[in-house]
Amino acid sequence: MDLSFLSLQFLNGMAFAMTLFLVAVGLTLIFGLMDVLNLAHGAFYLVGAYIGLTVLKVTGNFWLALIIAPNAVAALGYLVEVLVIRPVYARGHLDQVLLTLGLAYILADLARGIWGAQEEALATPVLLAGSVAMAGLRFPLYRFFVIAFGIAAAVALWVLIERTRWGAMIRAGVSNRTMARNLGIDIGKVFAHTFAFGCGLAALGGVVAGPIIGVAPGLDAEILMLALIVVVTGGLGSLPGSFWGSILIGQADTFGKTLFPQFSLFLIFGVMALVLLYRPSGLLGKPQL
Amino acid sequence: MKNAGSAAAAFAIAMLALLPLWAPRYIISLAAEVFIFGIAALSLNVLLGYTGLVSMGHAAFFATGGYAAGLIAKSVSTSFWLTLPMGILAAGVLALVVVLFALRTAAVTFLMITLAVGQMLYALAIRWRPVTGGSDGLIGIPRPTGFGIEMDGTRMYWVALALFVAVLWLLRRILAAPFGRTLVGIRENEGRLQALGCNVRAYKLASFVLAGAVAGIAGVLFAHFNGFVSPSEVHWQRSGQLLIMIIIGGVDSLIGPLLGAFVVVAIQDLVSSYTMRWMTIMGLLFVGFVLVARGGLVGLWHAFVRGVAVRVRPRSEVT
Amino acid sequence: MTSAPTAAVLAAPAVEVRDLRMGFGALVVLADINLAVEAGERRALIGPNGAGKTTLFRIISGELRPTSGSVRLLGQDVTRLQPHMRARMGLGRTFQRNNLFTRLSVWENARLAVQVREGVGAQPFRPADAYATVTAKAASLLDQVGLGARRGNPVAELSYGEQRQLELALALATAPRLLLLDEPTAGMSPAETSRMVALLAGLDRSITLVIIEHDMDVVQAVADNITVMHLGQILADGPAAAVRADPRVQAVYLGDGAGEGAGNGAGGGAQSGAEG
Repeated sequence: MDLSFLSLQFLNGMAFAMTLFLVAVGLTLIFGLMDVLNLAHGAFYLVGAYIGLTVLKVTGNFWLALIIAPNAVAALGYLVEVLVIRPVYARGHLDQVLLTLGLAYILADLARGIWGAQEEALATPVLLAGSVAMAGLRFPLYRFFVIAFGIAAAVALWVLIERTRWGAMIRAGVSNRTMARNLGIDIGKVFAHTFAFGCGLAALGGVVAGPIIGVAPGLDAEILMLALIVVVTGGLGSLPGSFWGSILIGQADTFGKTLFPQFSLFLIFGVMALVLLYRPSGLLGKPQL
Repeated sequence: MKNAGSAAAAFAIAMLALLPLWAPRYIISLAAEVFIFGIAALSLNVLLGYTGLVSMGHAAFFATGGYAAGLIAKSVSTSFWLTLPMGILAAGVLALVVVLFALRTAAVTFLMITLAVGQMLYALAIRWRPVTGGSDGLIGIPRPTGFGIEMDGTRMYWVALALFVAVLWLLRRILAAPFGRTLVGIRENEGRLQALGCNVRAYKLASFVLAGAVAGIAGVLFAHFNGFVSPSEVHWQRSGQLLIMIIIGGVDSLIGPLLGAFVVVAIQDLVSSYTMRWMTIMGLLFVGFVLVARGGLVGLWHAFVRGVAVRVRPRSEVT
Repeated sequence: MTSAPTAAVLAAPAVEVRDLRMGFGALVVLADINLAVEAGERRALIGPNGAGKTTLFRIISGELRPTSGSVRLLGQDVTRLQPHMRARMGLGRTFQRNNLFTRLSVWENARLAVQVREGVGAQPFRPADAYATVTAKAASLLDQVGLGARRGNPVAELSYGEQRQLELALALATAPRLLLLDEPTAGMSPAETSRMVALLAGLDRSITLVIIEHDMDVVQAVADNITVMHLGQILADGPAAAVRADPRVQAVYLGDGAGEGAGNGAGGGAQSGAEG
């Protein structure tokens, strides 16, 4: 195993990690704010990737797909929140989780009906189709783009949550819902927007990862599982937690798949188990009282 | 009252036992499937309806029972007296391992951990080809033998019915006993029970292992009945399906899961002959039940009997 | 338990906390609390809201782990012990807000508590009502707190005061040697309050009582000694009359202008506690 192999794998791992981050951060935002585990999150990822695929096929423009798909899925998420999840706020989280389970079924099945069961790939945008030569190796340019995109998204999200009014409302809602309401924040509106935003991020992940891992039925469950592991490992409701968790799990997955392809998943679970053994609330999660 | 109930139950069991005398083969086979999934849903309801734990990976225990029985039946012995206990044991041991891990973490992550572990086992079932048969699954699992006879289609139906009745009876007893009341106490107010000196964690563990082991029974039956077990039996959609059965049937009862299993199996069978989209139909039905009839069919029946509003009182969450 | 109870253990305070600190980040909730309550004593814990009284209860019962310091129960260090283990050692408590099995019946609440104590909670075969010792104890407890006639009702149908009575029944079901009562009369009508006071005053002296209470009439009727807490510290400690006369105590209550029922305000006490 030489250095060039390792660095190539590291790059692949980072690209995958950034995809995971986009998905996991939406999941963790929704969970942190609303206490709802969105089991349809993987399905939103899948639908986003498929919408991106269609836009790409029709227009031939990847960038258009990158804009349209997340917005369309965010709109879908908004509708879902208002029409399905909101009516059961008063009943506690279990009912909301159950509803997202039903949605996951419906969305995944409809996606199969609309886009078929074939595995498809999004074409890499021409601009980024080449590769970069470094230290005698050729690295696919698109992976660099994904990494840069993920880091930029992380910074933007951090600014959004720590520095804007909307972010302040989210943070207020996370720490104390009743107090937030007393401060005159329309918590229902914040919930709906956050849910939509989180779903949009999942879709963004779907489009960005499309040229690398493609789209196929079943991907929803796989992505949901990985995002859950990231969120649990990184710490529930923590933005930096999902960033570092993504890198940890993304690298573990990538290296695991090349080193012992049969049992790579055990490596991920090993990492998660190890983290939880020493920090039951995850890397950067707040301990539960 | 109690005698009337017992008499009604005995009558229902007798009618079901006589089903093979007149019903077509196809109905018998559907009914057997209802009992098999009824057992699985019943086991999950020990967690959801009684202890108040939400497991999203319950299919893993079901499938483990199935794989264990299948492997033994194919390579060791087809005796039901071996495959059944081993299936229960395998599922129970797996449940113990999972719950020991899941209970270590914060309460909110329980559902996530069970889901993630279930999906990992799904991937394992696909990749561990030499043992599990990979994505094709374990095929050609023979019918079990017992009392020196092979259990063909009709006999298999009777076995499924008998085991369903046995499991129902056993769980009824357990849940009416102090143990079951303690589980209900955990669902209602875990913190207070702990303040009273109850080792809540141990009870959660015990109920999870019990649920896993009973799911193993269903898995053993499934493997023998269908002659195969495949990774899709481990998939979280299967776990979700068990949850759907419970919610549609009614979470606050033991008979609810059987009704739910009936509805889901029937829909799957009926709808899939008209459209490929039976999962969509089932999802919509499920969402509908959660939104407007949270007590499930049993809740609707009670509401109908009482003649009061159909809308069922929502369950308050245990905090 | 390894050692037989020695004379030293028997003479040990029912509960003793040493150098207890509790902080959440920069917020200090309890600062260097030292407190010992002798076996059989009736101790009232008073102080304005936010003084840290309930936090102290939660640490003693094990719901919270202190930042530093130790808790000793009946002579044993229990600082790292799980709440249910402390309960089994003889620690019972009631909660500031009713903390019951709300969707279950009064009877089921009492039976649950008793079956835990009797060690039959794990029995899987005979119906829960088939255990005669459990049902007898549950019935006598409900009679003791005056809920005998309400056993078939769901808890949700009880009045607030009745729910407080059930709180006490559950705590007594554990056969406690130390009972922590968090505002047992809050939200009760005057008649219910006096019944509760009589009940508490009549408890066997083998049970040590620590009671958080805002209603000074209740304190006077029940407590031998008073500990006054303020801003996470113990302000005064001693026999009831001496503490009430302490000028610092007067300053805290009067200075805050809090109508916490201090001094001679009798009627307002129960009311103000209701929101607590």
